[in-house]
Amino acid sequence: MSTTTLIGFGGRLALRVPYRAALVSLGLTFAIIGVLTWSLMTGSYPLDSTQVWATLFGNSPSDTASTVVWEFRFPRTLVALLVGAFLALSGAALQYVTRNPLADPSLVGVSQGAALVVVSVTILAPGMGSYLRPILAFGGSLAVAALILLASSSRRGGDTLRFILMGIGVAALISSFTSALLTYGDIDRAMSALGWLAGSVHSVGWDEVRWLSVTAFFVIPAFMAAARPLSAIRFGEDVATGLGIRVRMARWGLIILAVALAATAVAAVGALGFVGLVAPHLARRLAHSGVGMHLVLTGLTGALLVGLADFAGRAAFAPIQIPAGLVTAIIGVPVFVALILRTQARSQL
Amino acid sequence: MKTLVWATATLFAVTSSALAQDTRTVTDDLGNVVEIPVTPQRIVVSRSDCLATPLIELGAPLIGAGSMQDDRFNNGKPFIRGATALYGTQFDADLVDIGFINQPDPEIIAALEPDLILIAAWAADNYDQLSAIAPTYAAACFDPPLKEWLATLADLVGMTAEHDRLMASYTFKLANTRAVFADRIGDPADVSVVFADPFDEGIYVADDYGTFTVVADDLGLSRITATDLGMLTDNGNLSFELVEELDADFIFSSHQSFFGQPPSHQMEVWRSNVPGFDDLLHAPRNNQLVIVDRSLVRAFAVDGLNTMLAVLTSQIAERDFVPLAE
Repeated sequence: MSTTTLIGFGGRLALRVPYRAALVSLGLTFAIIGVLTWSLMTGSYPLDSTQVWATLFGNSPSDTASTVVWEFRFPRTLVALLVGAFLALSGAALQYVTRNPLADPSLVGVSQGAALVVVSVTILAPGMGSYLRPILAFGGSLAVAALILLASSSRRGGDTLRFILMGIGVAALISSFTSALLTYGDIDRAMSALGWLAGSVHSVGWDEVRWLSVTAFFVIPAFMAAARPLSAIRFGEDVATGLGIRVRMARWGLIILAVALAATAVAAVGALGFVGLVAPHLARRLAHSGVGMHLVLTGLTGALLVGLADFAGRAAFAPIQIPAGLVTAIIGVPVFVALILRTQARSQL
Repeated sequence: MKTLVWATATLFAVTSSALAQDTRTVTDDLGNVVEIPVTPQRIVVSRSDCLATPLIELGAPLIGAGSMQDDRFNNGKPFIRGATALYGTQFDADLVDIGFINQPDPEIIAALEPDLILIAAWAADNYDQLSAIAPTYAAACFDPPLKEWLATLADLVGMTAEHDRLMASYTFKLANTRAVFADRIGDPADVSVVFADPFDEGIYVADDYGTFTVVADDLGLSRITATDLGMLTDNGNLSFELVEELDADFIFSSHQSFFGQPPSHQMEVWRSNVPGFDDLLHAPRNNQLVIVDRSLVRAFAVDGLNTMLAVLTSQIAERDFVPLAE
């Protein structure tokens, strides 16, 4: 495998880049730009590409066109891309840390915690206002994640299997409360909550873009810096310790980063599942690489996946808006299965 | 020449005042202070039941509404919950489908260029987007009593006079119906009624069951409520084991035509969930279990009140029935 190595921060950050991975990441970047452009050009409001470009450069044909492009299409697409990257990175980190290929943000209760709080407010206190949803969802995500982390750590330190089992148990308990509220709550309010639970970017704006961008600015560099301990941890605790990694600290630090990314994403758009699970696997199958480059590819894959899902959900059956969470599953599952089957077939040959 | 200048100036002034809409400031149910037109000319609403249906009844200038869709109703085409069942209203070029009631498409709304947008307060996460298009009012339209909400909505769209005219017709019919009840029954409070819908989880009973509640209370019937049954909230599912607490002169229950469920389906739901209910309870034992369309019960319209008034009159006062023994 031909590679080159990028070194930064006085050698503290080193990224080994196989050429194929570099080409794939370049391709993904172009694909993301394509999705962004396509999303800006397409929608229920009739605007041709010339009018969209004119609007972007300050010569909008009408106030309504300006609103549609700047207030609806642009922030929505940016949020979809950022959220996709966040969830994908969160899933990748959790898969490395737990050494479990099925790990994703729902394992640490992020989605379930947010869902419980949002459904509770929607059904029991509908007058509180939808604009509080992101804050409440963020709080719920962190609270449940903290509960799982605390419950799964012992005096002897955290144990991966214990962490996974505790996560599954607590998440199931939280989900049962949510199901009870949806079952017994007012049907119309439950339907409103279900739209959010399905993961939808239909109502986001520039506030969410700003919020996600600030998080990205602080958390994603930390993720990249974590590539080195992650590389060691994936070979097991003993090997990592032998390589001088403070395993316990690194593991919990990475879990907290993963929770922060996922909680921010869920708070912005709702419980958008499946991306955290599937994007790291898709990225790995697109190009083999080291941990750092794999994280880059995973982030780009997640962004592309959710960006495409949102575009398809908004344009395919307009005016019906299909939540991006449903579309990620519809697009992602067949692709995921096909890639696994293709890999199996190759290995059998 | 001077006359021509004056005439032109006068025409300009008159035209300008007609084009510039008068506005007023209101506070919506989420606390947003909104400046809305006194008499809006292009209204878009997200909810089809509590917003679109009463506006259609009023004859308000509604140009877009949220939809529902189900293969079993309206030939699978998008429909306006309430208005399609009550009036046969369909989406067309003059009334545009803006998408699902809880997730409308903002670009379609923008293209309609409304001057007032009304949305449900519990599904207002797109409030900022919609406010960028036109003044947007978030209404907790399920919370106030039905008659109060209809009056509030009429005031919001500047059609109070039309609302008053519709309510006057209901009040007139109510007075006549009271005379029928007095003639046939005497004191309506002697007749007990309950609205109950069985589901897999239990028998749903509520303090407020739309037009049924309004008309039953207006007539002075004795209505069994969720509160009477000791439920913690104003609605809930009564355990099947406590079904006898629903014993009343009349039990009303609903079928959902827009889910393709005819009255026979609702009778089957009763039988499967409460075997032997027609021997156990007085009302079904004496053919006094009445199944009505839920679209009528949940109709946010004066027309719904008038129809429910006719149903209760024909089922209770205009026929013989077997009273529940004390």
